[in-house]
Amino acid sequence: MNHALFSMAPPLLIWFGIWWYAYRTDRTLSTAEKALGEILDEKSR
Amino acid sequence: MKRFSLVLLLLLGIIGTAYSFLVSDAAGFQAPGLARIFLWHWPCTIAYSVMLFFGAYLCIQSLRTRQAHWDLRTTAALELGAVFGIMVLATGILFSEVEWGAFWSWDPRQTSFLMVMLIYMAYFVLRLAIPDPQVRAASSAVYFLLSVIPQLFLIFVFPRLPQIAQQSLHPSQTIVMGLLSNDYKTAACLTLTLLLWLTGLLYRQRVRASMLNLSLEDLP
Repeated sequence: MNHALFSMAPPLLIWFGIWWYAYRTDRTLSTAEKALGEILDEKSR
Repeated sequence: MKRFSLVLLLLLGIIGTAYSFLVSDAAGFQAPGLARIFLWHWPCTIAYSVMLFFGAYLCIQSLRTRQAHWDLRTTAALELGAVFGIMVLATGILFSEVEWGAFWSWDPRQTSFLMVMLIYMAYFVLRLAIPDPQVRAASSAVYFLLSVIPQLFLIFVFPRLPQIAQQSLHPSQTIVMGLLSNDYKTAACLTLTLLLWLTGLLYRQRVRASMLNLSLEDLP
């Protein structure tokens, strides 16, 4: 049990860290793209 | 763009993890089967060092040109470095428990890296404390460049001082002396390649997001 836990923990930790950073970056990018789209739409009207 | 995060997760999960579990047990460790923590710990230390040097280069560019995009690049690189630094500490703590008998052994190498992380994280604290973007960019770049010297000392010099190396439980010459088996080396290199590749992708995405935010702020 302990062996399996300690074997799995490092890759899971690193996965989670990278996924969290990628997810956070994606959200920032999506929000910025959406805001830019809205501004451009407003200007084109 | 949600698919991007999922692809990253899947690639790292399937290839890296599967191969890291196929390696044979490492001889010469208290828990030979759990020495495979090294396969995740070591690539993180390399990724951290790469981002440290890259961050220093970007700081020089930021100070030289005083252009906002270099500051954004610096922050993106150093954020990724922080993620890997935390992973180095976390995987080191797990290794310490299984090989040395305690999560925190006050080993000189473990403690010096904790100090490195405190110095490193102060960069982000400094940025939070300065509201003016230009002053923030210049001050934080100068701070980081100055902090590189103690960081390099604590990472590369201090643990190798003879009196410190004698006290430390941390293996320091494992790779140099060829003590790792070939499958260990292959797995470590595979994990390192994956991590560096992912770091490059994440860095590009982060810079893109920050640039877009900057252009939004500049719009009339």
